[in-house]
Amino acid sequence: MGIFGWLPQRGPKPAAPDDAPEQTLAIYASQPALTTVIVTLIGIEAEQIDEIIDVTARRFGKKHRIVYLTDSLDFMRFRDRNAIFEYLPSALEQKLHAAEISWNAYLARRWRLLVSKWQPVHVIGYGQNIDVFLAAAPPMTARTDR
Amino acid sequence: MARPTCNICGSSVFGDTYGEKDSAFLRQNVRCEGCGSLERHRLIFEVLRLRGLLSGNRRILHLAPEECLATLFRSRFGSRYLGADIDPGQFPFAVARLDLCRDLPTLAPASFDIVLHNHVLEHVACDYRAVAAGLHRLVKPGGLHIFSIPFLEGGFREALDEHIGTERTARFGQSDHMRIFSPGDLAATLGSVLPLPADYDATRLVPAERLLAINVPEAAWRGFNNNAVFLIERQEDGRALEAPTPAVQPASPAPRPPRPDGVLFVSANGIGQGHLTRQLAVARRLKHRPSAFLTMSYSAAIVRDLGFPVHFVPHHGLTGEEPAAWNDRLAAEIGLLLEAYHATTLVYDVNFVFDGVIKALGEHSGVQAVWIRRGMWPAHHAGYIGAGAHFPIVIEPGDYAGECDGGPTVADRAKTRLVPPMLLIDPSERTERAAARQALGLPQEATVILLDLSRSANPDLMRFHARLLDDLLARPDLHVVELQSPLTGSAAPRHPARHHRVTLHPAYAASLAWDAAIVRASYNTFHETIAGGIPTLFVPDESPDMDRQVDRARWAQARGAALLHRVEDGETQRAAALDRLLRPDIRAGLTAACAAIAGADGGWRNGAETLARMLEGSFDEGGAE
Amino acid sequence: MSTALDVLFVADVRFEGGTSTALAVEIRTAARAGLRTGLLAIKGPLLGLPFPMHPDLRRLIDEGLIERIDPDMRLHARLVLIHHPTIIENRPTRPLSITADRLLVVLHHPMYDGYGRRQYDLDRVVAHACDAFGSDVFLAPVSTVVRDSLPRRLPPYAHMLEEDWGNLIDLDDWAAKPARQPAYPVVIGRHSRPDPLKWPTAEEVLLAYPADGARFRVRALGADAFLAEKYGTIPPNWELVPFTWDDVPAFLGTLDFYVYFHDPAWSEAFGRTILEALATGLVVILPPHFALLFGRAAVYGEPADVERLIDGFVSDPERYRSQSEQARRFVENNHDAAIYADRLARIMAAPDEAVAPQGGLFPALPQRNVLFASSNGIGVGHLAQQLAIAQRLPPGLTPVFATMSYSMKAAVQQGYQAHFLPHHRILDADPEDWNTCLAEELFELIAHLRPAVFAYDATAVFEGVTRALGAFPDIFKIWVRRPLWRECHRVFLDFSDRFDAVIEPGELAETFDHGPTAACRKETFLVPPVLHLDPAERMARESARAALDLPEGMTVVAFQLGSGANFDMREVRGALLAEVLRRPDTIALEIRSPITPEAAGLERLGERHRVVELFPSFRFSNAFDAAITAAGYNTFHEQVLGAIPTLFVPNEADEMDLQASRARWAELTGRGWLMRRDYDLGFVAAHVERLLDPVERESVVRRCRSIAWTNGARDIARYVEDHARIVRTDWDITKLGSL
Repeated sequence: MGIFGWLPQRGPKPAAPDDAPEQTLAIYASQPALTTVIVTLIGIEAEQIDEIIDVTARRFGKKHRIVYLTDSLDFMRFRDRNAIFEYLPSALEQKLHAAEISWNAYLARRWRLLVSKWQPVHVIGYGQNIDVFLAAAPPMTARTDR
Repeated sequence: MARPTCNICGSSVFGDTYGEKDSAFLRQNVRCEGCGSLERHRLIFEVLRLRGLLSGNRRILHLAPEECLATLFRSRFGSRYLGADIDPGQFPFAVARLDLCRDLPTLAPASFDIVLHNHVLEHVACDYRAVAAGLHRLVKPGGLHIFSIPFLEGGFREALDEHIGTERTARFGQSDHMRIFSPGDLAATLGSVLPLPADYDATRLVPAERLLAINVPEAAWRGFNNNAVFLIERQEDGRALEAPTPAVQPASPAPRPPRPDGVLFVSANGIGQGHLTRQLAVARRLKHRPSAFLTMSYSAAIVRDLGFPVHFVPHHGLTGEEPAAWNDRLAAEIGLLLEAYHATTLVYDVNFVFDGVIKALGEHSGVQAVWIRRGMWPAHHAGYIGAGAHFPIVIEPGDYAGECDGGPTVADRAKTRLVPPMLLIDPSERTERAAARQALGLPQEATVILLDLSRSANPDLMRFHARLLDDLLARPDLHVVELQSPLTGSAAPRHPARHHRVTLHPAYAASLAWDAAIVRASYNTFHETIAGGIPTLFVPDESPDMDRQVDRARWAQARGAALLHRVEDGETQRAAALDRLLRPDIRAGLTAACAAIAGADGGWRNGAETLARMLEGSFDEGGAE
Repeated sequence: MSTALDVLFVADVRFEGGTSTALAVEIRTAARAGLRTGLLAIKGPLLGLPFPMHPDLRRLIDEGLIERIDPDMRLHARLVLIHHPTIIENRPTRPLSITADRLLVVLHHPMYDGYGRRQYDLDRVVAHACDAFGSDVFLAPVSTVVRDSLPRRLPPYAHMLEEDWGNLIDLDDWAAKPARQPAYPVVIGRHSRPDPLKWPTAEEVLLAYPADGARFRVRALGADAFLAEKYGTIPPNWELVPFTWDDVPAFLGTLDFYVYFHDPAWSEAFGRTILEALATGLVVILPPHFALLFGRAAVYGEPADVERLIDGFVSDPERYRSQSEQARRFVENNHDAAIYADRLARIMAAPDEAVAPQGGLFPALPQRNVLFASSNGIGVGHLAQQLAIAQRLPPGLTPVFATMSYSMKAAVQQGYQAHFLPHHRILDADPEDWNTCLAEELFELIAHLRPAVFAYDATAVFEGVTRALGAFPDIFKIWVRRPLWRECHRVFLDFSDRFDAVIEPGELAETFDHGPTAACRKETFLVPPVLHLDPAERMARESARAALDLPEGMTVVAFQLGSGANFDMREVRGALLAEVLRRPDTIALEIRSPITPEAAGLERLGERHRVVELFPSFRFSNAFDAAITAAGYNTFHEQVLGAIPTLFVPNEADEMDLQASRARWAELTGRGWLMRRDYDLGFVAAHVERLLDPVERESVVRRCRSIAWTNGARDIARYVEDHARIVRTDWDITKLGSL
């Protein structure tokens, strides 16, 4: 997996941090001491984001880096709190642009990329579960002459 | 008034024509410095322009293509433009090779919108009428045949033989002219094959002011001249050359193809050229149907010279082939040619009908079979008469001496069609005496005798010919003309001034040049003599397989139309015959008697013309049989 | 179901000069003849620089005379015309579903140039054309010279067209020049693309173009500084006119003689400029090798003969008139566009009734994605530029955004698909690790989107980006790169060759740019300044004021000093606000960008200090009487082109472009004022006084309105459109081994 051959074959529940293999895509490959937790915030109201950030920061922030996975466009909320976040287009956005890309294929690979990038020790879900989100992603709808 | 401008290239600077110093055709201030155009080119361009013919995808055949026109045609018509010449190398642009004397049949009839040639017909080294007619046939109905030719006064004259350049300049205006046209007899010469206008006035094509503006001076406007442009529209024929409407189809099972049906002429290797000549007489009078020849005769070249395709098959007597196999192959050859030329008529002119011919006719039952069977057969050819069963149409060219024909054909008249005598050239087509003499380099005032006995395979005749030659040349002030052929070889003249060896075909065209002739009495020669009123001493060829020449000659002698001398007659009689021939009063009497014979029955009609009309007319519409 | 065309033109539409002009003539004539035509654009190997589509060809598409063809379309054409053999010397990098009754390759050049160098590989040309379109190939040389250069034995499947594909010119566009008798001083001239090779050697140039001002005036179109490089000083009687597409006929009309000599190193295949000169009826003097092509339409000689030849015509007016007439007539007879319709009719097979072109609408072009990628989290500058382009794309092209900007929401709100790529700084990650991830993520996105064009807008080019792009050699990659770089950014110039085109949105202050990009101008596609919104598209003043609740009678000063993230503006901002609000009739309208950090803690200084969040604020700017802003590219050009009298306070942080230069230019050209945070804090009062002076403002407005400007966004959008449906043959796909 991975066109450049760096992504390891791993699933969402990785092994213990000490087992980090060589040649990974990991974003902190040069800084192996840090561990990461992904917090998914899919389908969450914008107002609730602040609260979730506070809660999770208190709970995990001391031992791990937290990466938020959001489908909200309100990036400043994360920015203002210096929170690291990744964005996935929401179900509505996917539907609006279903003729332009095959969302189910793309998002599935994107998720695996994110996991390999962040090498999370935990994945915690708020709002919609990531698997449900991925399963609901539409295939590419027909375009003329494609 | 503004300076005249070349309408082709726009230049307004003109110079004098190029040409040989003593050429008859030098003119001043008419040659465009920009593109080299002369008056005729500008006139042609103007007419084309006015008629909107310079665009649209037209097929153009342009002979001896002048660069001033060729460049423009190529730009506008691209691959539809064909520039052609016998010597393509002299042109600075790509030109196809085309020998008008041989290659016209390679071009499909009715395939060009415009056929264009300027000052070409005077150069062709073969029958110009065949070339002109052949070119005309290439024009689509509704298309244009555009050309110009040079003219000199004094009547049409030509010489296809080895005249040297200065002689040609003197006679024809330019060193490479084979002939020159003359305004007075144009209708009789070129006009005999093309529908030419009776007179010429350029202002009918382009208004006078415009002519001056494009530097076509008044001198070129009226009367036939070097810059007169003939613009002949090809008419629709009664028979459409393209796909005809089905309504007028004859009751024939095969659909009429769009190509015109060809005629295949088949002849053998009989002694002399008689059969071939009669077939050529018919072929050149066909207006619409293409002709092709299959012959066993070594004189095949004369067919080619007249512009027809000729195929040669050697007789098995020459090759040693087994006759049955040879006949099979002959049948196959005929079949191939019938298909290749899309021929629906086969014309045969030999006493003896080969098995191969019969077989071919059997295999192509849709082909009309015509047998030209002249009379005066020797008795021992009677067995050949039966072959007439294979020919639905038997044509007998008339013989003036027919009443003394005692041969086998007389009895077999039931289904033969008698037509007038056939000659390749009508007597009226001959060149006038003065012009003919000039063309042959003969003095206008001397007595000229034609001696032509040696062009045969008869050794007696050839010896006799040689003795006569001596006799004749011994007489001072007498000029002798001998006809050369591949059979006679080419020896040098025996006398520098009075002995003329000429290669001329057809010689009859020049026959007004001589005061008397000493010839055999073959069918053609005999009828040329009588119809042409040539005072003649006949020396019949009495070879066993020849036709009954002696009968003809006697018949003529009996009527005072000719003198007769037989080879076996003695030397005294020979001398006497010559003496008589050289007497002007005798000659006058002979001529008068000939005229009386030829003038009977309404005057001269050419049986070849009759047959040609039949082949193009009544036969087609009524069904073959 | 295949669409039917009469003629499909296949060409590299970017060629300058004669090649494209000739093609335009063919297309227009074919359209006039009622033929249904299409144009398939090829990116061939000859042109490496980012030339746009030739305007003459573009116009034909805009006017509907020819259909733009997408390589995905299923087509059958009666005739496919490939112009220029080099464009098919490499295989097309993708299959085509286009078939033809007849396939022609027009050969514009001889196979070998004057030095015997091979100009194209005929075997490859024929083989690739045949493979791509599935037909035998007919070679159509433009002249006998080209025809004769071809080998006797043609490659398999190749045939020679019987006729030449001569160059054509539309005489309607080239009126005959005014009839005029030449007299000394005569005007001699020429026109050509600006290329030193098109000019003769230094030894010969003064023979051909004499410096004797008493007898000659020399006018040259397409000549500029390069001539001084070639020859040293230019004689005073020479007039050099820079190259222009328009009005060449008028230029030629001013000449008496057309003299064209070139460097021996140049091999002229035809010389369309000469044809144009002949068409106007000029007396043309050429080197002898042109005689094959032009015959008596021109006169020939060596440079040393020029004066003598000219004298011959001056002393013989009739000859001059005659030669002039011959020149034009030659073109009329042999190169008139009117003969093209017949030529096509000859070449095309008769239409097959079963597949006759159906009437009615041409099928729509297939949808294609265009991926806009941009960097940075500071400001909305890059994203705004891309939105400016995206909004001007035609319906068949779908913009998709991938950005590192927090303002990504703006793109989504405009209705576009958008993806977020967090920058390594906020991730606190090592740049190398981050680039590795970025490469992978971009690869996935591109692989799924399959964009036809990738448009990158940033100063910095990230390794991850170039690595991902390297996996997609066929995508057309554009770098939109604004100028006015600092020297420390020079290193990014090296990335230029990873892109197929570098487009530089123009700077009003371009004369102040001596940064690294200035030297590269010649290799970029320069467009006028880019604005997201055209000034004419703004809300009218009354509506804007009403929307912003700004009463008449008050002087509204807009404040837009940037987010302050990297350059602290608080002090200067406070001082300016206070000064503005000292007057009773002012309103200070502070416009916040969507990404201003909350923590900036803006305090309001009274009722007449309003804070609004507006994007795009420019839409409302007719409401403002004056403004105080930073001098970022977008804001600066909006202010000036929008004719809003502005006091510019540049953000002079190291990573920013040289905002101060812009502001300086504005001040020195009377189109604004400059105040620098570190230098001018003591002069706030004077700046504000001047800003609020109506006379001063009126002067600035007038000067701003005098700028002739068209929106570069439109040029870039058209450029994207022209490159979104190309077939690439500029690289050899057979050599695509491992990455």
